[in-house]
Amino acid sequence: MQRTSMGADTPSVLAGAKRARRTRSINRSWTNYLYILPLFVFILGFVYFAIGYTIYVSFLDWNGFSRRREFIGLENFAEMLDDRIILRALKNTALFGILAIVMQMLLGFLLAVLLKTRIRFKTVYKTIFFLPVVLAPAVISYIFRHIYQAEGGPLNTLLESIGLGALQQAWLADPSFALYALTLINIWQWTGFSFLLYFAALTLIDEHLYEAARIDGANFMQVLRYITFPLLKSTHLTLVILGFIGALKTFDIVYLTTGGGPGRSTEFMSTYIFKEAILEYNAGYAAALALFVVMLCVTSTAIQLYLYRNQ
Amino acid sequence: MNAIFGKRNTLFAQLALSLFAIVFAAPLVLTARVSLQGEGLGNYSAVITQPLLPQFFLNSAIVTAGTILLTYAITVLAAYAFSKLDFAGKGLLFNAVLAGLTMPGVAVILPMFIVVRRLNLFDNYLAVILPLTAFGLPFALLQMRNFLDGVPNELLDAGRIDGCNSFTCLTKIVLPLIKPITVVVILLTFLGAWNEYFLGLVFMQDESRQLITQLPQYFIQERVQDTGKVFAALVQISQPVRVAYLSLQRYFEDGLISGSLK
Amino acid sequence: MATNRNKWVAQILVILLLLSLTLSACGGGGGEVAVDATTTTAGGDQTGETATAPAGEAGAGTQATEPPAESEGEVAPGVTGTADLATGSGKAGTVTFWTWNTGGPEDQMAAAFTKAHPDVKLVIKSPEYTDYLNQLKLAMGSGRGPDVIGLQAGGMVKEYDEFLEDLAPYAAKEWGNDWKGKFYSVGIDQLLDGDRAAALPWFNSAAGYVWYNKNIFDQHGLKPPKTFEDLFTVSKQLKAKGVTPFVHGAKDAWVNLDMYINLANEIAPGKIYQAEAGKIPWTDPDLVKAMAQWKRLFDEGVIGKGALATAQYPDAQDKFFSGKAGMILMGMWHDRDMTKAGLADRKKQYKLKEDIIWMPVPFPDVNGDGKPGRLFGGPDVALGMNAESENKDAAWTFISWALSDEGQKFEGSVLNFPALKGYGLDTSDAITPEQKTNLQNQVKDLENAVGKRELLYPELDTALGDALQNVATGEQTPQQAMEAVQSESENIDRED
Repeated sequence: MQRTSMGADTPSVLAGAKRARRTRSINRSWTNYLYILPLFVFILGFVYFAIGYTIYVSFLDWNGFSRRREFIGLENFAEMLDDRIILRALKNTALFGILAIVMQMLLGFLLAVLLKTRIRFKTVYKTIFFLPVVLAPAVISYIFRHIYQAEGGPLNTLLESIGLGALQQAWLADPSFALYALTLINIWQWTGFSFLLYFAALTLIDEHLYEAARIDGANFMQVLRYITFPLLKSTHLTLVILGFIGALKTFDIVYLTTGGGPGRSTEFMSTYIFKEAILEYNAGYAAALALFVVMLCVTSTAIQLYLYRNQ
Repeated sequence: MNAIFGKRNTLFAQLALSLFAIVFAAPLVLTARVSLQGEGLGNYSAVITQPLLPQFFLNSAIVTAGTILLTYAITVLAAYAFSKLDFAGKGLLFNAVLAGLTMPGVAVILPMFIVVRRLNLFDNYLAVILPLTAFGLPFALLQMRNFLDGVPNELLDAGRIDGCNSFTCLTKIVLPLIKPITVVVILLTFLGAWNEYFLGLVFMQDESRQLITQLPQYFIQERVQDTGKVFAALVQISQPVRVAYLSLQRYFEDGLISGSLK
Repeated sequence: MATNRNKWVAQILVILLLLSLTLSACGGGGGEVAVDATTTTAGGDQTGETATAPAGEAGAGTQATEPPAESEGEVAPGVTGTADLATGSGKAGTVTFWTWNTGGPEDQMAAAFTKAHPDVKLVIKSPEYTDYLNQLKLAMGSGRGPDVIGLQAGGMVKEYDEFLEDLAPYAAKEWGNDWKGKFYSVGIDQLLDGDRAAALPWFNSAAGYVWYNKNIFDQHGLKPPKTFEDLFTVSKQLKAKGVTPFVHGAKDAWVNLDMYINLANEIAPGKIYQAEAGKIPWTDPDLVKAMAQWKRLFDEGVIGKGALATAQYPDAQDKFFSGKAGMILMGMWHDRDMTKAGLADRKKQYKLKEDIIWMPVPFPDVNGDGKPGRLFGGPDVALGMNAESENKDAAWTFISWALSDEGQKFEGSVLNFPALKGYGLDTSDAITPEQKTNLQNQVKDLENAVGKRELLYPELDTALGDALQNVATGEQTPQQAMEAVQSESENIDRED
């Protein structure tokens, strides 16, 4: 309530700031906080409220809507300690995340470099590579379920027709392939994003560096390896961090293709949380799991940034 | 890069890219094919003639426009402060916002419901706009601030000598400079808002307030699902996003180039 | 360098800030909830203790666990007598009805109701099932639920019990004291708790039929399987002809569970329900044996390789009703596919050229007693009344219409099996005489049902779902899988 009234006051306070301007340095003034006030109204009112509420629920034995909510302290967290599904989900997430991030970065980088040459139809390529990024997960999941069909699916048909019939698989139905099949969907969807970031970053690299390297006798691969790649450090980091957070939050494509199965072989933290919260009426436990994900995201992002900066 | 790429290499690049393009395009081609399954183009006309379509389209447009406006206004103000102004706890506050990126969507539903109920916003477009804005802000802020970090401080110093205060510096000097990143923020926000499904379903209890993402539901009846039509609907729904991307593609890249990479 | 360190320090501070902020918000969260409990307990006795509950976890922890008196069963407001029923604001009004299944085409059903009760406005919301669960949960928890709620017997009714008006007094007033006898017992029995009726069945359905494509079977001179071994033989014969013998959407836990209940009830009728109640372990040899038979279906190729990534709806269904597979495990809910109207829809949907005759047969005999498997089922959609509804009269108007002569005939006409005795499926639109006879006889199958379909504990559904998939993929042996189910079963808090 006080938040909204503060929001309403903003214009008049801003007007006051104008008058104070002459006496104080623009760089350090309490009025600077007014610029971030609207942001924090939203962040506190929604994001932090959500986190806070999740913490509260994580202490409860509650189905998510009943009037009966029993305060059980840390029991939900204790239960997490011997929940083997969490381990499975983390393993799946890690494998999925690492594979997807690495592949998306490599492919994206490769495509970006290739597109920096004097080739034709650049826009066509760029459009094709980036379009998957804007597609709804529902569309993508549906299509890939179709592609991966075990009997008569396009992928298996293709393998058959190029003489690789022996490689045909029940891609999503076989626990030893399902996770990789999902990873491939992610790579297909998000490579365009990596590609575009790299493409943009490459534009910023001074051509003279290449000239200089060439004069020093470096070949193409050496230029890539010793000049281009290191110069894109901040792009790499952006992609790793976003990819990491993305992997931990991956939900739609898993839920809509394998639903976490067969068994738990493609269970992710997010699908597990969903099942606990919605299908099993365990809001308390689901909240504890969600907090775990948040903490994992925050700490590991901090660690990544730390490592990056100490490099 | 041209400098170190010979003619033969260019040919190779063209071939390699074409190969990749075919692989990347194949699922898109399949999408089109599935959407024609059953009644062919009839699927599309069934979707287009759905009587609720104009209403849903309008609702989604309002929600999307509202989210973009709010996100943009808030992001510009905050990014400007985080990049160009000085105040205590700046880094800390910035990171506190970024932490919002990590909240898994599933965990957000119940708290959002409480907020919306508290504000008594059911069946109000704001019920979808406000949470969408809140959860889209961290990423937009990150982009915008990175962009502004690249705007030389000297420009602002010069402005200050000419007598503008922090706010007029923003409107007169910064705003005209940030067009490229604006496109990025708008496009990404557009994507998130237009594709939003669940918030609309939960907070818009009146059928006439449903969002366009509900449309495929009208071709799923109990146990009979008309796959072709559902698909045609999905394709239709993502049309505006596609058009937006295609028409803004150039600026989008410019924005990325000068923005999110630092 | 110094700035680097500063940034790192900032990162750590973020985490601390995150923690401190969230902890302080936590107190707020608690207060919020305590207020909820009082403001939305409409009609319940708002005792001083809940109203004055202090903000914070302590308050929420101690007071909020105290259930409002009305949800304790014995003192349910309905029992106080029929006087209650007359309250409310007149007959006219609006009734909101949420469900995942509208009992036939929504517009037709709504039109029929509106014609009978023009003074009551019916507002229906029917999202897809998971969306529905999600939405209902949020709405009920905050007192914004609908007046009439579509419910699934079993776990769902149990979870929502505290919000549901006891319908027994309403039913007694409407139909007299022996009202229960009017319902097919297979439906009503699963909704009664002593004298309390948390919901009433609208229409019933049962699983446990194997549907087959008669065209395919006739074409190859085959007969639908009578025994479990037949199923394997027939499948091999179909496969040899290049026909997919049996489609099964094993990605979905529920259809695997249907298959397992079939197998278990054939091998040892009723044992699965004893295990559900915790009276026998899930590692009982018969229950393990059922799991082993399930495994055979995969090993011997009855169920195809891709099944575990196939959803029953729409994937498996599409394949079967587009005429591309010989058999599928379904239930009574596909009866409409035996009618001309149903066939016309399928022909349009899948661009079929020929008329396909689909028929259900009982699940094949597994234990060798010469008798086929029995159906299991109960209420398909049960109707509950929101105890906090402000339009209880209008709500009852809708429920009683759904269970009226007209309402039940409507369900029969769309091939949903009516909940009231004396009503059956409308067989006039059946394509062949065989189908007509089949539809007429389904009432016997239903009355002969071996048990229910919905288990009471969602944890069990999940554990069995995992076990079935793990056995199918070979990750676990039947014995290991049932041990896992048993250990999950031991953790369940069986209140009664």
